[in-house]
Amino acid sequence: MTNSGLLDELRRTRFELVRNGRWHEADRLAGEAVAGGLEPGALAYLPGSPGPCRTSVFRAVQAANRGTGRAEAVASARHAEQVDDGTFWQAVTVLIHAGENALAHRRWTAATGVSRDVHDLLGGRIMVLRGDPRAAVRLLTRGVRPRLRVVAAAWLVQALTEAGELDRARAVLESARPVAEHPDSAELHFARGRLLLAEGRSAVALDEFLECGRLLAAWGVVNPAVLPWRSSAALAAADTGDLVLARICADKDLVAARRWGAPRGIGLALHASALARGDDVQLEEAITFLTAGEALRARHDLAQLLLARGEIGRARKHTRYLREAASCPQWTRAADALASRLLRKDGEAALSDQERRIALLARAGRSNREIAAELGLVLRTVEFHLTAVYRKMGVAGRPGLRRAFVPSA
Amino acid sequence: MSQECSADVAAGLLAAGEDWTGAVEAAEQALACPACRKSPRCMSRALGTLVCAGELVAADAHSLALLDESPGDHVLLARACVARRTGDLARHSSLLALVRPDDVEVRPLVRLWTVELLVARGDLDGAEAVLPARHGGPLVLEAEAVVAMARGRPQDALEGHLACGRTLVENGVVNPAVLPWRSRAARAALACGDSGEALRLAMEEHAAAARWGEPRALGWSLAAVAGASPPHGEDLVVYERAIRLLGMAHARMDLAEVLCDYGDRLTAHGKQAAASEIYARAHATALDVGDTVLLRRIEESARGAATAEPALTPVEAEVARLVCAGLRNKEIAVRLAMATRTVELHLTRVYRKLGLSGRRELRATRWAWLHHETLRTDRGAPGGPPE
Repeated sequence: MTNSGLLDELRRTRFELVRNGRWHEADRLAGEAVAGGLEPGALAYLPGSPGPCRTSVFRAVQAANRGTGRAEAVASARHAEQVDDGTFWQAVTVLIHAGENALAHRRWTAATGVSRDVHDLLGGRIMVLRGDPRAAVRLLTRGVRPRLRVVAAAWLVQALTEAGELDRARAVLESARPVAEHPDSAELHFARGRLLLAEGRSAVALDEFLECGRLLAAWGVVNPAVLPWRSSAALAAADTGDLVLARICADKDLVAARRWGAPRGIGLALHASALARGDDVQLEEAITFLTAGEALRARHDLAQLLLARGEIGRARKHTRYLREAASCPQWTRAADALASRLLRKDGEAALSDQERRIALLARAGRSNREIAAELGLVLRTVEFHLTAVYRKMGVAGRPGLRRAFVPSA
Repeated sequence: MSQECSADVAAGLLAAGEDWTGAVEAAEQALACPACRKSPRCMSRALGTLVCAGELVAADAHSLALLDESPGDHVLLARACVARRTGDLARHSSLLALVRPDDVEVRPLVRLWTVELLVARGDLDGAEAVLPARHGGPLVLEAEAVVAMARGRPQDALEGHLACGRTLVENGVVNPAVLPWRSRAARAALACGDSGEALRLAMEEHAAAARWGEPRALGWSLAAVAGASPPHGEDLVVYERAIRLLGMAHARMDLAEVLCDYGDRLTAHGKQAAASEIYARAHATALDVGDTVLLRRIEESARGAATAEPALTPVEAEVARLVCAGLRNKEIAVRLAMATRTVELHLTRVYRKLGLSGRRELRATRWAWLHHETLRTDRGAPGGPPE
């Protein structure tokens, strides 16, 4: 059998094992094959994977995908001598997944003899996590070899979304038509989901996250540090009003993230869980685990939750933090919107009973016509009330309404 | 020991079904504790909790490690359970065969699973032979109910499932992820024509599953709710949600069955094209799993949906029409010159084909009427009833 024939065969066997719930045996098989010199990118979930790597680093990648044994994984990634693009890529990826951002950054700055595109892409990844999505965008737009195009597009979309440049993110996404069955398409689904979520299109975003999860499950990836699709799905589900699904997704990620032990995953899961439960204490805890844009988002949601609940003093405090920490225009804008609502001391408490009823129906996705029929009002009255609701809640329209309300279980 | 054993904590939280995160974390603590690791009882509780919590990757890794360290029936059973949940019936069956049947601790569970396996293969005599002569605990009651349902005795099945559930609840086990007796009872109640009771049981299971928060149990209970609901539009949305959850949980065995039910329901709504698409998915999944009885059912239903002929045979349509006109079975039998038993048989088929749960629902739907009109005016012409 040729090498590539053997690889295909192993790949198939591996997927079959995972499909039948034999994750551990699948990992063992892949580990032995890579130790025997076969291409790692085909035998573990490894987006990008520019080439073969050291066996010890491959084991670290497997541990990261599985979400167990973080300390050992970090040790192998850290001590792997850098000899080629593949080892460099895999080792830095493991460090990022493990939350060792400073180490990853140091390794990235000190790298020599690595291909330009490999270096750019990982740099983009690191910059987003360090809270500098603009630098990430610069690194991610310098062009890459064909093998890396899908992952480059996915990460660029994520960086642009983080930076609040939604139109540009959409343009990139539309030009990067996904190739069916591309090994990195899970990244693209995730990026599209994040963009849709930022655009307020939560129901479609949820589908993207679930598709991403389906692809990762086929690889046997359980660690949210690899892609926190469940926490994101939980945010989308909470937005659409499916709080049970939101809770399920958030809890599953929380347990997995604690098992792995990297703070970012824990923070994202706590954030999602807090929104699914309307729990401000948990949201405060989430902030302590998060950094950069993700901490700002959690802070913003906390201020919003407190405001909607009428806890003006605490809401004001967090809005102030948000304004001081905001590094890009989208968060400054968000802080301004919160501040103007605080000034009017409006929010959910200021709504009349009828306005509240209508707002809740609108939040649940009912159209104005349906609301009118349900409450026995004329269409014009519903529109009138909703306008008042938008004004009092300080939101621009229906998508904002979804975010501004406290979920009630 | 002054502190409570983590495995006991895990099992307690699992039974109560309200703290998913706590149960999983306690189970993993037990698996990391050297003292617990030496006790088969502790390990069986911890692994069982992980499986019922849907943490199958963790259960697989831990049980495989234990198999190297201290093999025993409890580990084999846990691995058999993982295989079953992911829908690998062949491996489930071979692992089950390795467990010694004389072990009192595991015997009831092994027996229940063996019965379910045999029923899934259509070997009802074999399944009956496994049942013990004397009445036993909840798992024996459940096994008896499963056989009764397969034998076409839904009344006995309903009583069996309810008796099993009563015993479980008395022992503090309220979590449907341990055993979904309510949804099974709902199925039996539907077959008895009591859709009200079916819906009540299904809703109760759904509420409990939502408290536990594991996608498989939740999806399964939602499917039961959809199945017990009248076919008036909302039921299709509920089926879609159930299927999404079961997909998330990678529960292929349940997914195949729910897909088939969904196909039947789509057919009842007159959406033949959508139904055949769903049947194709159901067929692929059931084939994957190796559930032969379900495969036959799917093939039959798909054939029924694929032919452009109306779903009901002329006799079935006539019986349905007379029921809607308010006649009793005995009166219908006299009018159509057949035995009452035959009328009942036709009616059962009518309910199944239309996705109805009984006489009251049949009378409530306009479907049968519309359908009958189509039949009378252009008998044999293709095309379903208007929606």
